[in-house]
Amino acid sequence: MKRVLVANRGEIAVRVIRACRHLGLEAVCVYSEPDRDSLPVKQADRGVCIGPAPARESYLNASALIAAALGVGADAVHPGYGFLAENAEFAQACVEAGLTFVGPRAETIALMGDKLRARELAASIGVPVVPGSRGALRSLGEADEAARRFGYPLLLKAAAGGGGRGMRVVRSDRELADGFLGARAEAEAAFGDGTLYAERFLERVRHVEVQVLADSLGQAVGLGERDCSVQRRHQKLLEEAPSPVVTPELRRSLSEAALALVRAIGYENAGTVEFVLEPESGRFYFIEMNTRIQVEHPVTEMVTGVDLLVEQLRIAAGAPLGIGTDEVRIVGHALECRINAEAPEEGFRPSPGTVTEWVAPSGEGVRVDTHIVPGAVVQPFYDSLLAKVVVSGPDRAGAIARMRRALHGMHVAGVPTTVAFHRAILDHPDFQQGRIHTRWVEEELVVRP
Amino acid sequence: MELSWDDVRQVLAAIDAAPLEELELEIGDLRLVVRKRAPGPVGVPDPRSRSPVGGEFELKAPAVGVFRRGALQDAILFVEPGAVVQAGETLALIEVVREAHPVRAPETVEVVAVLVADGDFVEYGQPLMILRPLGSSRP
Repeated sequence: MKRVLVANRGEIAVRVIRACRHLGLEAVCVYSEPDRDSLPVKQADRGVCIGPAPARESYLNASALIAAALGVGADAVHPGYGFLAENAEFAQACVEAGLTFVGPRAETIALMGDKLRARELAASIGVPVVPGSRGALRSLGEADEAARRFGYPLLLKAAAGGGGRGMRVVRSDRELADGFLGARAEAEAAFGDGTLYAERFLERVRHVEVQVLADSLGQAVGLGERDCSVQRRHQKLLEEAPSPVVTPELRRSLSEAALALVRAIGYENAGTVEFVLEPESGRFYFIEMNTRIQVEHPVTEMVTGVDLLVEQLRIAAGAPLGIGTDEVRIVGHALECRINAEAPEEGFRPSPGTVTEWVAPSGEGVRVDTHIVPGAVVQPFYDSLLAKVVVSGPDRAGAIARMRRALHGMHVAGVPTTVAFHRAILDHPDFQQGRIHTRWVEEELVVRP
Repeated sequence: MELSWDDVRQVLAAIDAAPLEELELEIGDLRLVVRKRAPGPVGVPDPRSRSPVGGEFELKAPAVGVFRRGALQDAILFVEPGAVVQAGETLALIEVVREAHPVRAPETVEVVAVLVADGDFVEYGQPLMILRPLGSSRP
């Protein structure tokens, strides 16, 4: 592997380029017309324009990406996250074109992308899953049956789902028909597949996920958990590692469950096994596996010292894992705030525009992953993530203090940001005491109009 | 919030007139998501960025791929400088992963120059040829 096509944009493109540099690999970054002057294009060894602004004609255009990779003589493609990162056909098309796809095999992506099959597979090897329907719900009648069996509140989920789309919480018989038809229509529109299944909706749970790495030689390692319970409408806002409610015993159990799944499917490369956790009982349930690098990967890097992007590239090149299970040490505590160009007081409306002033936080224990520089344009076509501010500290309180200091040192003009909202989270006693759950932001912080 | 069909029609007309691709609207518990489909063939840059001299313009690559001046099998060259090409006729091909996309003359033109060699990798929007429009009165 000598030259890597970075098939993404924004901060993750910058991050992939940095990992390529570390390994002495050349990085070629694709871009759409409006991204011509973006930071990753400047930092890459070469940029290739692949299409116009709409993502389906550029970053989601598999043929254009492969043509670009072949045209520049790349031998590998890193998909980043989002766009085609979990698209099995794209991974397969890369392999057929003679390119190394930096991620798991296409069939693994397809298997874990089918949330219902993934859930059944996890259950079959003894990984706990949320009580729910065994197969797909083919009709409202079957949804009704599931409601009788598992009770309300019931969560209807799209088999092809992700990102909170095609998902409905139903709390009574009265809401069932609307919820079922609504979720099916949304899943149909978002994924072209309206298959739904039902799970018991667990209240007051935390979102905890285990980072795994597995090489092509069959070695796998767990790198501890991330807690991503600070969410708004299933969108993660702030993540941390380790979780404030996970004990060393629980950490071992989570890791064992995640690695059992990894081994069962012969997983290769970096992945994340997601669970919901009931903090009081310590019971956890598998929800899904993400077959890519995640936005929040830096918090794991900060507490383990492992460069996950470098490991992804090394694994893709056929190298054995650079770390063994007994070598993983979780040291200190890390937090990540996702700073978006959004107006929280206007329902988190995405607010594209030109960033006229940009002072990113710095100082000891502070890391900023960003593609923004003064004058950068936040495009209306893509997501509104400006930067991930990541800090580490000797313990959770130290990390929180450091994040508060970091955010005070941040100055952005030209677009609204979520910085003040993150400060409100950090200042809240519930968050400081680690007593939150996945609906906490909506119940405690977001004032409804 | 109550919404009548007339309201929906008005909202859609306003969105239609606005220069945006996607819209997500949330008012109270009402959520509206609209995605527009681009009209006509997608992904073709406007080839008529005319240079100030003589109305000549650059023909830009409609896709990223390999520039082919002739058909893939028989290697027949499509055009040479000086050639007159009718509107809609093929000037060259862009090969995108074993699939050939024809690059057609947007109007009747004379080929002034070919800027890219056969087999070269071209990016989306890269100038391929300089063309001179001949207008509808000329053959």
